[in-house]
Amino acid sequence: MDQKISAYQFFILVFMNTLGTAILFIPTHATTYGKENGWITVVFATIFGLLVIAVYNAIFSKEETRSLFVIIDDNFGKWLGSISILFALLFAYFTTFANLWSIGQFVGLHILMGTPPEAIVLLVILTCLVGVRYGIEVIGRASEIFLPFTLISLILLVGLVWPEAQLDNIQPILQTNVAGAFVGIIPVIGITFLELFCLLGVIHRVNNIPQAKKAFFIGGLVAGFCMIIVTFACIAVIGVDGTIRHIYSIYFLGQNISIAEFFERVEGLVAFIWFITIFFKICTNFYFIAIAIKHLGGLKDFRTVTIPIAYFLFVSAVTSLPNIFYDFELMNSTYLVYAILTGFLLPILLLIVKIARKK
Amino acid sequence: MRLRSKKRTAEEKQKIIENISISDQAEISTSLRENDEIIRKMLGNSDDFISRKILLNKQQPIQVQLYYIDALVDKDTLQNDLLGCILNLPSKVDPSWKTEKDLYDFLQNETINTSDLTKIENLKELFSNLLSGDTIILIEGYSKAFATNTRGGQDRGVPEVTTQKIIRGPKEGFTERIGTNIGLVRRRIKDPNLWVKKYCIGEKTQTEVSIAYINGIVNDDIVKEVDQRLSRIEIDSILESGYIEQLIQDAKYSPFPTINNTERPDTIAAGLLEGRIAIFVDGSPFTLLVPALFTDFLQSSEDYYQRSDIGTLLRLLRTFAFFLAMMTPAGYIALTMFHQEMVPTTLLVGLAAQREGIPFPAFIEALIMEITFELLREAGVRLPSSVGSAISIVGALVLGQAAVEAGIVSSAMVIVVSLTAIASFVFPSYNLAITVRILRFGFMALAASFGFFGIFIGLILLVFHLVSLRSFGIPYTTPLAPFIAVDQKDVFVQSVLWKERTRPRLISQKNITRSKLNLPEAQKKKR
Amino acid sequence: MRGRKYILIITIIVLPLTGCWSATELTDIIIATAIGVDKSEDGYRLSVQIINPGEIAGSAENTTRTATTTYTAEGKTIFEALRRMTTIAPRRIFLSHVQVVVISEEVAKEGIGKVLDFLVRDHEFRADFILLIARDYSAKNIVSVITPLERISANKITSSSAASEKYWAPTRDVELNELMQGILSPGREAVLSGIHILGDEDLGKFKSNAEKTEPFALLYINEIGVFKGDQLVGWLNEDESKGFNYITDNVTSTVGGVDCDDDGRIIVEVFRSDVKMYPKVDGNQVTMRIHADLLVNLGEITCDISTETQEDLRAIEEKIEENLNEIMQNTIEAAKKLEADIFGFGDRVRRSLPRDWERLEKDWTTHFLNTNILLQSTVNIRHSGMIHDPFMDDIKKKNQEE
Repeated sequence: MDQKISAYQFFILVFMNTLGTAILFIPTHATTYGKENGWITVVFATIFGLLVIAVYNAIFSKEETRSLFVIIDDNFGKWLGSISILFALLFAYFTTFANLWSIGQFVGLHILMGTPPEAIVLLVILTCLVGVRYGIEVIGRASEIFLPFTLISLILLVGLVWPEAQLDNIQPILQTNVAGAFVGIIPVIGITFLELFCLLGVIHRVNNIPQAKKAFFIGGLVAGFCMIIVTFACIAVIGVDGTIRHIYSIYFLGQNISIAEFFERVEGLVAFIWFITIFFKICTNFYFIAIAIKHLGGLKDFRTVTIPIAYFLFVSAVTSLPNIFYDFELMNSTYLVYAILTGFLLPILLLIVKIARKK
Repeated sequence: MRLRSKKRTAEEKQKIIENISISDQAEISTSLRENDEIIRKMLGNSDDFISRKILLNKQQPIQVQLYYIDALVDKDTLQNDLLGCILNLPSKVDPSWKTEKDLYDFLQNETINTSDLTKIENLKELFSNLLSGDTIILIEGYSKAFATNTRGGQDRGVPEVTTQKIIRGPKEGFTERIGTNIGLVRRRIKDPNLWVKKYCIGEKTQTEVSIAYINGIVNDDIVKEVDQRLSRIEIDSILESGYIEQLIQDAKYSPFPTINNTERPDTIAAGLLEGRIAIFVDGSPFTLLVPALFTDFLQSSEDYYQRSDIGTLLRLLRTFAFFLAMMTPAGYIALTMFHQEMVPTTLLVGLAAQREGIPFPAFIEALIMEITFELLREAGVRLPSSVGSAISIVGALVLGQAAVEAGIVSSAMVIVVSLTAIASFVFPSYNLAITVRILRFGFMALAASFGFFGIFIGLILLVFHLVSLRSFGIPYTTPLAPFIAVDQKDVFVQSVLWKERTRPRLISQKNITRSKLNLPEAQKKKR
Repeated sequence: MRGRKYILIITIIVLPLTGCWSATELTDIIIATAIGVDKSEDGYRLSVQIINPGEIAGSAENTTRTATTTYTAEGKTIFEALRRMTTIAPRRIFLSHVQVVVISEEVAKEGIGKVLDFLVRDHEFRADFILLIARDYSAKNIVSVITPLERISANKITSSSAASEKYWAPTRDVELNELMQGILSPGREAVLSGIHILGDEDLGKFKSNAEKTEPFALLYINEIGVFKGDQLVGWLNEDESKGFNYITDNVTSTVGGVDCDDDGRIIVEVFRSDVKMYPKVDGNQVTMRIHADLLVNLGEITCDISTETQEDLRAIEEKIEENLNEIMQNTIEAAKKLEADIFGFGDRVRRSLPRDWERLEKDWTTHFLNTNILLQSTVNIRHSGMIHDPFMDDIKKKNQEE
């Protein structure tokens, strides 16, 4: 029986997937490039991101029932198609274990000092495994349950730090560092919108494709808006220097909250938002990997491969990245290229072939 | 037509006795004597089994035999409506009737006053009726028996609800009698569409189980599903509705209840009107209601009897209590063992001061206190009420004061445990309270090993599990996930009554509209 | 299929049992509330004020132990000194609740950059502690003083620092982030308030300090230290400190006084202060127009002056305006003398006129010293307290009659 999700659930998945990791790294990344204009970088990144989503949407026609993989196969032919899928799959794999790794790092550093990241990664991957084995329907519904909490936390966070915002910090607007602000768009898109490619593997599960496309768009828009707000808040409250210096500047932002002497130290809110979003991101990517392998191998049920994938993800996450600085370098070099290839060029190619075939 | 008179051999009789429980078709013999023998043997000459021989129509004597079980019959009915009639009318017997139908008509129309009279075809039915409290009438020469409803026996009457107390609203609750129970509901919904279907479940107990639903509101698929699941049950006994619940529930290994139960007729009536199906079980005052959703367990029928703002407040309070009951000890453990930086300094100093000299780690301390509390609660339930107060004194003194003064537990922990206890008593439904009690320990373990991160992982797993559940095809977390906007009016927030114009979407898919009238506006127009 | 799912769930349930890596019981840590940093021969001497929970919380039984204890250790760096302290301290020192970091003047003069790295980098520190400079006394002695009322002196320091910033205004509550911005940003210099001991520094360490109505030693926060880069270069006096807060628009409420023509004074309570800077760059000449807008209440009048007419009030207002301008002028003079742009004039220029800033940035200090200051103050009197006309006049008359 094919599991179906609603357009609303798809919207939430888009939202979570865009914000996962991004919410923690974007303020630092965007500000590093754009300085005071970091938030403008995110604005432009969102606009470009929406264009990317438009490309994604164009791949699927209104009455599409085929999955992404079948579409790729149909357009590229069996061999080329399989290679493209493998390429996308490896990208998803790459993203997923990098995310797992960063969750291990973050929790090990900020939440549970001293707990080995391996244990944290194992815990997360096992939980994701449970979710993935339940199927996309359960992931969709679970995300529905968590969405209000995520939004409330986000609103609380921004609302609570607002009194400490100094609008001076964002001046001058688009006067200096304009070039930097635009260069920054590429890495920002790289770790946000281009990773949405994985959601294309899910879109055919939505019970209403035209609505799903709308949801895709709105999800990207809302998530982009959240990123803009958060980046803005980071720059306005802790200043450009502070935002750049702190690896997790939004976490630092949370530490700045102090209401009524008691309601302070609520960086837990930040951690919560981040966990939730990254968690669903890992789940969706994991699911993508599983169904991609299912398609490539012609398997009956994607569940058969979930346990091996989980194992490989765990091992990769634990062993692949030496330290946080390496992660940053990677994010701006190899990873970026890979993201553009998979998240942008592949869909564009697909679209071109599709249109050419129609004619 | 005189029916064939067939004598059975002793062997045949023995065979019937042995196989009676299996063979439905064992026929009633025409010979009274033979029947008597079989019945007596079957019942092992039980002493509460009474038979009475009557000789009708002296000119052309007809032997009639009555059977009943002493404690199951209503003596008044038996004496006045049955015996009285039969004994007083021997002269009236018309010798002309010869056929079975004549006899039936005679008994039915002229002789017997009891409310119903059913014809019995075989021995299995005979026993089933006899053991339900009917009086069986056997007539010499006829291979059919008659059962008259003389059911009675001891009954509690309509009692006051004991488990789901409310302040405002009807006080009457279900009893052990299924008939009374269905009646209590019927009295609330005087609609011909309230349909009842009866099942007989349990090889030995032959328990009467009835489902009730309102045709036209209920989702037919769910009725079919319930019907199938009930028919599929093969078990020797049904002693309580809990048996049925366990046998037909969806998630067999989930701590969460997917079937609601209640003692309150008004809750059942409300459920039926939302398109749910009630399952009555004879011998149990707890009636089941399906499908049950997660949010149902946080709602009380009383919510609707009060103004919506109060109802909303109470519901939010219960939701809060749900998390409180599940998470408080876990949160305390996480805060004191892992996240000391999150506690405001003054509070942390206070906690640290209390923890000075406590020999156990916070987790063990919490575990000890929670287990003690669970013991205390269990003891309180079992104890007769006269000694119940002793337990509360022991609890208050031992747990509260002495343990703190002796430096075994910190007073903050006592506060945490009491808070948990109070919160877990808030739920209108006992099932969920137990669930929460179980989960609490899991969360405590997670918190003790991974702090808030562990709690978070636990929460995610919990949500994954919750959303994967279904109750009779309906996703358990409806209308939160899948999110149904129109149904949000009656989940955590309770909208005003005149605006609750639709029934829950997934449960009842037809006849959605409750009332078309927008009440206050109609009143406004009148003025 | 199903069985495997349960194995998975069981694994997840069992996994926690192996955990507890990072668990610390409350009984295994001691909570530090204040840190003092002094100079030692080859590095730093770190003094940590830790609290004695039993003495602070719960039933206030009188015991002979003090509410806080100070541990001291030396090391080449802060982190080293802190870890060395574990040899003295009975348990692990928990730093998340540090509220105050006191840096000795000696260290501050040498540069606080080395001290700050650890404070910023270490995950246990929270960003919301305040930093102060110990004047004349060692930081160690300051964190060792036992204060009356507040049993934890760090609490006393934070609350009185906040209160004095709010109601008196000659100090500045500087948290880590603000300090870092001041040190690092090109158009601004950092400041930190000073803290002293009033009385006997040694007797202040005894419990009996809190047992007297007039304690042997009191902590006293006053005046603002000016940094150039990460080095302390001088101090603003009380009036200049207040002026600094005026210019940086950091005054919530304060009182200010002007002398009357006779020997009395008029004291006003400022309840709203709004100060804006408008930079103008003309070639290499920077002009900074500072506009102050104050709302005040009459707080105390000890001289013979009338407040009946609008003209009278206007006269008082003008006096205050004059006084305010003078204070601000003096402050800026003082800052110029120290060659430290503590007001963030440069930052202001950068934000408003980024093009000019690119040109001026290289030798901003010179430009700062040459900056023209235009001061414009507007003071409005709103209320006059519970009475409207002062009665000094009447008292005087009566005195003369007798």
